[in-house]
This record gives sequence, C-alpha cells and structure tokens, in this order.
Amino acid sequence: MNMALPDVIQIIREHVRTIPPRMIPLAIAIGLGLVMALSLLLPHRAPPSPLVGRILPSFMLPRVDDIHKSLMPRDFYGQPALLNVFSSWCVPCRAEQPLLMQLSGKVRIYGIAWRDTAENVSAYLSETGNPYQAVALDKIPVTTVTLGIFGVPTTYLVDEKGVIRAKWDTPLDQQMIDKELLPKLEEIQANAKK
Amino acid sequence: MAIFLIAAAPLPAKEEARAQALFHQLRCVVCKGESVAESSAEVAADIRAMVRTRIEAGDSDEQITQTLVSTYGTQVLMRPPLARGTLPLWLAPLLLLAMGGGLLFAYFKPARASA
Repeated sequence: MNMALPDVIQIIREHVRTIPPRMIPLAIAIGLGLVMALSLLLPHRAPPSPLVGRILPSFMLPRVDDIHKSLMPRDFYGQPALLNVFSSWCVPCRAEQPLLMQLSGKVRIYGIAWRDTAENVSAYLSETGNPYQAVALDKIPVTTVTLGIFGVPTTYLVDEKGVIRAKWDTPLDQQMIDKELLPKLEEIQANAKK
Repeated sequence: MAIFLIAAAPLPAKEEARAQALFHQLRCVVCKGESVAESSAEVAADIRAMVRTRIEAGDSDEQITQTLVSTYGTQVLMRPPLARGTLPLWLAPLLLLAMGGGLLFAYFKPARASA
C-alpha cells in the first residue's frame, strides 16, 4: 500500500469524525488499551548498557586453576576477548557452554565464576568442557555492581584496548552470536589490524 | 575483603537508616517493580552490600546512586529521572488525568437553558 502520509491522516480524520461524541471516552479507552497491550506483547528491547564504550572496570581475582595467580583485565589486552561471567549452579550458563566451546576457536574467552567455589567450578568445567583461557573466582562476589551484572550468565566483548564493545545480559544463543557477536568481533579485528 | 564482609551486616543506627532510605530508592534490576529493600534476589543483596560499604567509606547518597546508574543505567532508580527522554513518562499520567477531567466536565456541564 503506497500512500502518502497526508492521505493516511485524511482517512483517519474521516473515520474519527464518524464516531458519535458520546462514544469518544470509550474510543479513547479502547485506543489506550490497544497501545498498552501492544507495548506488553511486542518484544522488549532493553536499554543499551552504559558500560558499552567504556574500558572494562578493573578487578583482580584469584584464578581457579591456581589461587596464587590472579586475573585482571590488563591480562587480556592486546587482542579482542570475551569475558563470560557464569556460575556452576546456573542452568542457562550450562546451556550456553557448547556455544562458548565453539566460540573459543574464534576468540579468546576469559571467565569469572560468580558466587561460586573453586571445587564446584572445576567439577563443572570437567563436565561441560573448558572454553576459557583462564577463570577468575569471585566468591563473595565483588564484581556485581562494578561490572553491572544483573545475573548470570553475562558476557562482554572487549576490544584490544580493553574497551567494552558489547554486553549481553542474557545467555548467548546462536542468533545473537551470528547477528551481533561475530560481526562486531570482525569489525574489531579489522580495525585492530589498521 | 574484610571490610566488604562487615558491610554486608547492618551499620550503626544513623548510617543504617541512610542505607535503608537508599534501598527504597533503588530498583531491584532483575525483579522489576521491587525495590532493593524488599528483594530477595542476589543482585539486590550485592547492591545493598555496596551501599553499606560506600556509606561506611563516607560517600554521599548522590555519589552512591551515581555509581549504580553508571553501571546499570537509570533503570536502577525507582524514580525515573526528569530528563528530556523521560518527559513523556512523567507527563502522560497528568495529560490523561486532564483529558479525563475535561471529558467529565463536558459530560456533566449543566445544559444552558436558552433564555
């Protein structure tokens, strides 16, 4: 239907004129009801995270494989990386693991085990496979507010300078990886080469 | 780390009152609608601990909420800020009220008998 906006407005005007005045409150109520129903039913885009475009906030946490070693953001500067915050007790995290295993071939992945213990994390990783270059243990946790964590899993795409280029507050799925993650990763890699 | 653990417990009376006031102003970001004061979510517990730690460290309410907004966005506030983007949110209820009032007035306006 190829119609100019003025035509559409004219048609709406004519229809509105045919509503008898006493029906106007009902018409408005129905109109509002439709708007509200639509806003509830249509997919809801979360507002973009304020952390995107900023340097990954700093942390220093013991590594699960060696508590005498620590992991901090500076350890993975130099190349793009994914930071995946997960927990061994988190069901969607487990569901995400196969995708992370696949991604680990394309980009280095670092993990933060959130609200967890070294024993549980080690057991979990031996079951699901380990896509991580290194996993930091955040037992307390201390990173919740500084990293803007709503829950687990949370994944950050960080460029070679440590700037967060994307943040996913939901588990990754194949569509998000294909449509958002991989294109962004390629963009970063292309720019890093310049 | 020890300071963090201590701040997870209630503070002395005056500071705890300030903490509780802030808890009611902050939204539990994973259970929309609840404030951090009521929520049993883990993230809410972490936000409460952060607020207490910052109060002990001497930060102002403004600084604490600013830090939370800087990582979670304005959705962490129970009262959305008054800004250009949120103007429709604030004005819509008033407009709807005015419209409703106008309609009622028009409906109940006594018919003027023509002399």
